[in-house]
Amino acid sequence: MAGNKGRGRAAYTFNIEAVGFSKGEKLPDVVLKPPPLFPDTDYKPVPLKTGEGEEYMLALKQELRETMKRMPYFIETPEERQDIERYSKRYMKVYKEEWIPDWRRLPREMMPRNKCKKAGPKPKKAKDAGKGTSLTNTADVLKKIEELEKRDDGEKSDEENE
Amino acid sequence: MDEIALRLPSTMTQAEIKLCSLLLQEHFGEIVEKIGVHLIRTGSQPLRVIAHDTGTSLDQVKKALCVLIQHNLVSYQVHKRGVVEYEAQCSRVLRMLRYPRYIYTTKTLYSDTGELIVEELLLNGKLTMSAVVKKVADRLTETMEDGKTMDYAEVSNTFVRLADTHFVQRCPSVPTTENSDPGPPPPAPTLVINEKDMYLVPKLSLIGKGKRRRSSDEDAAGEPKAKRPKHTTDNKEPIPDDGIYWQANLDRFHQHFRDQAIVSAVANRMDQTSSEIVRTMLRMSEITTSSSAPFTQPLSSNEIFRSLPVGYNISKQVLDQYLTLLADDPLEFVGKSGDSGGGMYVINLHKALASLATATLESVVQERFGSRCARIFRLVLQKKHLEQKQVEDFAMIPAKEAKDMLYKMLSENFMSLQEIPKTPDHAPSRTFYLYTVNILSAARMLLHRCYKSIANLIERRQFETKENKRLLEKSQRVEAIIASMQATGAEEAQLQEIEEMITAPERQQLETLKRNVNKLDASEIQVDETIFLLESYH
Repeated sequence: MAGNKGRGRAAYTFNIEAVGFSKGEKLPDVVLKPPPLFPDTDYKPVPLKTGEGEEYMLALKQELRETMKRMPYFIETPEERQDIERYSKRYMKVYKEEWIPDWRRLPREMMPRNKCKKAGPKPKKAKDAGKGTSLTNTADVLKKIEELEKRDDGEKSDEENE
Repeated sequence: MDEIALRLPSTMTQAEIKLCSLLLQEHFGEIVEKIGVHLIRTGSQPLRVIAHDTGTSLDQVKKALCVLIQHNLVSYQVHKRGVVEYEAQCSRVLRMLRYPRYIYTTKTLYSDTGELIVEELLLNGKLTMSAVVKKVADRLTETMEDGKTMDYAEVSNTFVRLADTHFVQRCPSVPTTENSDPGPPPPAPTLVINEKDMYLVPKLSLIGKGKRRRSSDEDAAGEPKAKRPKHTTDNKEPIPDDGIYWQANLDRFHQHFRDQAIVSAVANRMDQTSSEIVRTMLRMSEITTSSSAPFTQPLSSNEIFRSLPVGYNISKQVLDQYLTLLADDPLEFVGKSGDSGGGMYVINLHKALASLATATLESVVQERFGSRCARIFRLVLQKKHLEQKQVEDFAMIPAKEAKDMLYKMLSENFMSLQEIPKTPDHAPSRTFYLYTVNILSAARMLLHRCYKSIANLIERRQFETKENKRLLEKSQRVEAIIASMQATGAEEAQLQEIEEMITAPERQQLETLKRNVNKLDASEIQVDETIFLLESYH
């Protein structure tokens, strides 16, 4: 093919001057790694705006952040069971007002299902209460059986629940 | 399934999703965040799919959705076969950044009462008017001198004013159907609102005064509280405006911010009088022009003259001169649309917003790359398309520097290259390469960077707070101890002793932390201002 001038020498397919480099000039190094995470900036940022409005909005923002954490809409992540129940935890619980949505405005599936008929929908409570009692009942029963066995008492409670 | 709705992939960028995640987590906790982000990513989904895909219990998902729906962040729709699907409103989540600005703006327009009304509406998502009035009256009473209380009537009046000027609006409500409607109830109500009802205040006779909270109800860190009843007694009273909910009308605030920005730009570019004329014109167009209109309804010079603020003493001729000046200005904020009525004028909203977005871009280029780069940027903007050689000549900047600057702006997408081939084979040596600025795409790029910036700011702030968690908790405990000691009348010496529990270097650390957190918070607010300008232009 014609145009095979300068064998072994790199030749550009376009006019290098159009891109801005003069002929024969050393090209900049190839970049081999991503740019630094915190690059040095030649120009420092302009200082933040100050003023009555800005100060007020700042205080407001911080206040709102704290307020929202205390509102009933902030759903805490249930903490994993601690190995030892801390006494202080009982006194550090923040009591939140419960919020009941207007069920008329929501899809019916949003309403929690109550197992027991109570004054208001308290499904989690009902479920937990149920689970709780069955567990403690079983534990209690086992304990009682142990005690009775130790005492060598043949009697057994009539109200034995599983 | 033949009814699988077309699940369009989320059009939100990673930066926006990350920011939404941080905002939801900070305001509503991790569970709501998980559900919210999932919906933003996946689009519309039914309840069980959400629970399954996120590995969350049905109960938790329901709670999270209730919170999100209450705050207007998620909406629902009934699909075929009665399946209800939930969809997140990503852009609405991002508006949480602007809450301080909405509230402060209301303060400047309607003072403390108005401020608290909007704050309660934003904090609770939506409320009935009677609920808002009661809450606000109680809060204002807290701040008043002993013995004084805030009357419900005064709060109601401010509420009505906010509704009249459209800063608060009614939420769509459950349609009232006759009880004789046969058949099973629908899986979800279809909420509707009539245009003309949106700002209609129900006729209530709210009589009462705000109440102060009893001191035993006060929250304090670490203090044990008396067992309080889960439901307040007020729930037993019938609510007069039951089912009529109100929310803050964010679009109206945005219109206000836009007007503020335009007036301020005119004041900077020209003078106070010009900006007042423009402000008057915008005020006259408030209700008549929709927020997405390219320009306001035409206003006659006579009308404008009559509507000028009372203190303004300029003659009709002077007004006409100003209007002509404004219309002739190359920025084209004001346009002349006719000659009747002394001259018909409009505000070119779209052009004004484009100018503001452009000015923002220029400013960013200047601050990041220097004023010579900014000169090149403005040059290319003005001339639309320029070759490298032309840039060097027009800007009077040496070739090497000009090349460097152009490439820097190109690599960061403030500029783009347009190829114009001279020959059909598109050979590079025979092609024009023209530098150009595409304002729309550059603005979008900058907007994307703003989202990333705020996400970085929030993460850094959370990091700083977490790093100093132990010290912060100690400081809070000491403050609580001092407060309770002061209440029981402790001596100065005892208080001093407790204060010294925090050492001097610790105090220094706390000072530094506070300064940093303030800076980061203030930066968030300021970046959101830029986000507002850039989003308004699209």
